[in-house]
Amino acid sequence: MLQFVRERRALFLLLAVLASLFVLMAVQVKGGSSPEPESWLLRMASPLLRASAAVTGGVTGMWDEYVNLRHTRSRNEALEERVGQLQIELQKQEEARLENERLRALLDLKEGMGVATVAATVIGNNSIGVSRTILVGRGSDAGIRQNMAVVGAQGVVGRVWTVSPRVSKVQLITDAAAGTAVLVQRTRVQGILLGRGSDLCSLEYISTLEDVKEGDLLVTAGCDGIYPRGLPVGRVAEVSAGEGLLRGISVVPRVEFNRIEEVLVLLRSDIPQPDSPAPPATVPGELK
Amino acid sequence: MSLFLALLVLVLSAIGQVALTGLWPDASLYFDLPLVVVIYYGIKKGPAGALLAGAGVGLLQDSLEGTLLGVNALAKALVGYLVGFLGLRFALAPFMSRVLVLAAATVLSRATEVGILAIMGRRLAYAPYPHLLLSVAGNCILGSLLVGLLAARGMKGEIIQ
Repeated sequence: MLQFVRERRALFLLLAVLASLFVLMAVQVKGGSSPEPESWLLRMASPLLRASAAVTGGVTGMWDEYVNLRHTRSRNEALEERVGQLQIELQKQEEARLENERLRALLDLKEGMGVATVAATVIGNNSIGVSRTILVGRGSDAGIRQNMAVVGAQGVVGRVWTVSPRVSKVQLITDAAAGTAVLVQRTRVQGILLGRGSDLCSLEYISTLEDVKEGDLLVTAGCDGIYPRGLPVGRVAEVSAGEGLLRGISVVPRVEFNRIEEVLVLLRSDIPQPDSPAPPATVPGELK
Repeated sequence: MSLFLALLVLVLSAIGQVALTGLWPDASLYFDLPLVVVIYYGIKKGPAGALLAGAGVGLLQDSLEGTLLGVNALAKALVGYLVGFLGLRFALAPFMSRVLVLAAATVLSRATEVGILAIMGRRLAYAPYPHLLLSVAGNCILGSLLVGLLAARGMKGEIIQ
């Protein structure tokens, strides 16, 4: 008998365990309350449970923070990209606004000019070189001819020097070979504005007896056959004694040539052409 | 492996199961860590040891999970005994045998739980069949990894061939 039991010890153990567990469960089902062993087990396991909860809580917290950090980082990158796009957009809008202002000023000038004009965009700027010229993107195809006056929103720019079908070269009033008949707006004193090949021009042939002050506005006199009368040219920057009976007067042009972007070419039909005697046959940069 | 270490592994498996469900609530659908440990003991220690291990860890699991005290204990005791019994007669250490034992043990354990709960007049809180398939897959993967890990740590030689 003992031999039989010993050989089947595991089986008997199983039966005993199963029976005990069945009894345990039956007691619970019948009693309807949690048994004492359950609370013992729970009490014994509670330190480990609390430790594991702390560990898992820490892991979960770290994970959440990591995910949040990654989310924040990706969001930050997206926002930075968006800010970059908006800055570009803002710059474009600012550029469009400024262009609009310039074109509006040019349009006002065009309407007040009383002659046919053609607008042209500056495509090349040599306003700080030895020969002070700019290239505009319109030419003889648009009706432009040599010696036509070129004006900007602020005032006189120069005259057309060379014309090709689609591009024209404009000699600026600051070019050393440029000359413009002007008068002082306040006193109507007439003189010739000569370019110096620098940012300033000289007002020549003004007697020391004439009343010219710093800040006086010069406008075109309209007697050189190129520029119509009354276009603003520049302001007197300095008045000195000069030589002999003439004053030395420096003039700052109204137009900022290194920033000019659009111009108007005055399509006058009565302008002198190269086969006519005037104006003087100098080339830009050549001193008279 | 000492008795203390064996007990510690059992307790940690039950605690680990609870902690796992704390991190990932659906973990109980896929894994039954104590069952995997009991199967390991069944292969390694034989029926008596696995039976006692299953009953003990099952009771702890019941108390932690709040189910009827004894359901898991009975199912795992039965599984431990049968795996141990088979382990005495067949080679269960090879990979495919191990996977088959894990799958069969999972099915048996779940079926036992369902049967006991039905006998005790309790309702199941989950759909048994999809849950069963997920458990089989999860336990096979986890069990293969764990037993492989234990074998790699030099315990393979102790497994009863």
